[in-house]
Amino acid sequence: MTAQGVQVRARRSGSMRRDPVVDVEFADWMAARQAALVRTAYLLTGSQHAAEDLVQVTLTKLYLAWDRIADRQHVDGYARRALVNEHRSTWRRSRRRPEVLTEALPEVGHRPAEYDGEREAVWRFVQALPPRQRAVIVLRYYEDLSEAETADLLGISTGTVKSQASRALASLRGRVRVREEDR
Amino acid sequence: MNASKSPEDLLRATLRAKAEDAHEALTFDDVRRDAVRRLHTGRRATILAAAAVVVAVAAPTALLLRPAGDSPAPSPSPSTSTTLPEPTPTESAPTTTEPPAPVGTGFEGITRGRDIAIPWLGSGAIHVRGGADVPAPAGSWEAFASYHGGWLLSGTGGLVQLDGTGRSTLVAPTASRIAISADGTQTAFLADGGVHVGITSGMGDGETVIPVQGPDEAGPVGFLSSGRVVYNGLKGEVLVLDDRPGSAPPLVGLARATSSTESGDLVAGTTVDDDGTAAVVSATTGRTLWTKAHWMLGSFSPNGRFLSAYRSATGGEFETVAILDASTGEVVATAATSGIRALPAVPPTAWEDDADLLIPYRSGSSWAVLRLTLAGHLTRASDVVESPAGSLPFVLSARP
Repeated sequence: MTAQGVQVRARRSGSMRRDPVVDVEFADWMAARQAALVRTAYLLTGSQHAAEDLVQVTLTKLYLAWDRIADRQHVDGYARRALVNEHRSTWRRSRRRPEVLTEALPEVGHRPAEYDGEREAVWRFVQALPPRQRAVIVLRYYEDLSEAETADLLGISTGTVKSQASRALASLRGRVRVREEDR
Repeated sequence: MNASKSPEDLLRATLRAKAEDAHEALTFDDVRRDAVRRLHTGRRATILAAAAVVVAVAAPTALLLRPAGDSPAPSPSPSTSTTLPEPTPTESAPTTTEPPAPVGTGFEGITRGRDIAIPWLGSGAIHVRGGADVPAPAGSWEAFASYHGGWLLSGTGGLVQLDGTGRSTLVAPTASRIAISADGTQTAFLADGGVHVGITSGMGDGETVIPVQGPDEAGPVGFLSSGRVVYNGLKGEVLVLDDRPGSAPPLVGLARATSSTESGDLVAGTTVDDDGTAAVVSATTGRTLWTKAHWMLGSFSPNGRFLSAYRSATGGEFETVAILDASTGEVVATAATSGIRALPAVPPTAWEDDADLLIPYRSGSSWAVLRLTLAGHLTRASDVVESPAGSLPFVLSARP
């Protein structure tokens, strides 16, 4: 049987009896891939603490499903999808108000008295984006995923990916130009 | 800004530089301990309260004889919000004389009524009134229903199909909604990249699979007339599936569906993905019957006239559960009264019959299932049980 490209073996759910070889295999994979997952999680969440929580939940779910994943070639992609899905679920759960996709992006805050660096300004801009739009930016410009791949991961249309990315870029372009003019 | 840098380049450079600030901190033992904890205690309560899986229950066969249209059958005169608890004897009034809830649990003053009449899952077993308990596999289950003489269980560990002896016959890696037709004869669930539509009591016969693509949270929501299946699709669309290849027109007006009913071919959901604005749309005409801000809709009553709903003004825990008129969105009865206002409801709820809604409630580590009637009476349908943080001691069957 297949699901999302992952081969699945039927088994009873819930057991923690593990083949030690499987644990070693998972531990090796985790050692190799955790850093990449944490980096992506950090960009998605904006904090080390939240990134650790997100990665831990993702790795735990992956570990529980590990002996059902026969096609190891797809593990990295499966993990990334799990990470993004978990993050998406987290922001949906924690959302206090509707996420409104606007043409005018939220202000990052008062402009600092002293310009503190281009990258810090861009980073603050990214952190101020609504969660889904931030996810689009991270997946497109950090993970270098295509629009279609980004849409697939986020469960949205490619049109939404395009529009959210282009709005963010337009806003960033205008905002940085203002800063340049102030210099 | 460096004039030679495009915004795209600037974003790439910034993200790559900032990503280096993150550092890995987990060990394999951390993950393994977390896995053991999850298997034993389930997901955290905050996750449970988020209604990750909403079970769809639709209307009875008799109502399928009605012509499809915008509205379900006429509703009885709805009342407005009610006050509780009401010990006045009614059809759903207490039939037992068990002691009141222990002091300090938060359930004081809610009179103990009759036991839960539909199957429910908890304490490692499936409980069927008048029948023997069936052992359930360990796991954090959030939805279940009878199927093919056995059971379907769905939760954080994925979806498992059990035969009548409790032996698993299917394991899918992702949780799925479990959708059930009005008359209880058809069930749909997502597994192996397809929507399985089967005869509920078919003992393995008559199951068809409609290939679909979907993320983890996608899946079948409910049935419409003529056996069509409402399905949350990959691209934030609500689709209507039938067994013809390629025929899956999107339903305009909803970004995500939570339930449907054959009675009037109505679909309940949200107008924008999870934004807190609920809506009911006619799948026949595409017309939005009504919208309601800050509400999340649950399942239609078996006769399709009513709809369970949860309200959260803050976006956090649900401060009340209500029964709405499915055709107008008006509140028929609500549990938001002095006795229970401070307690969070934990979906999914389940219809016991056309007039009684079962609602799991949590008060700290104490849990109980309460029964809200159309008349607004609230009684306790279970004992008050203590359950560790994160576990869900009552999972109600998807079928009345």
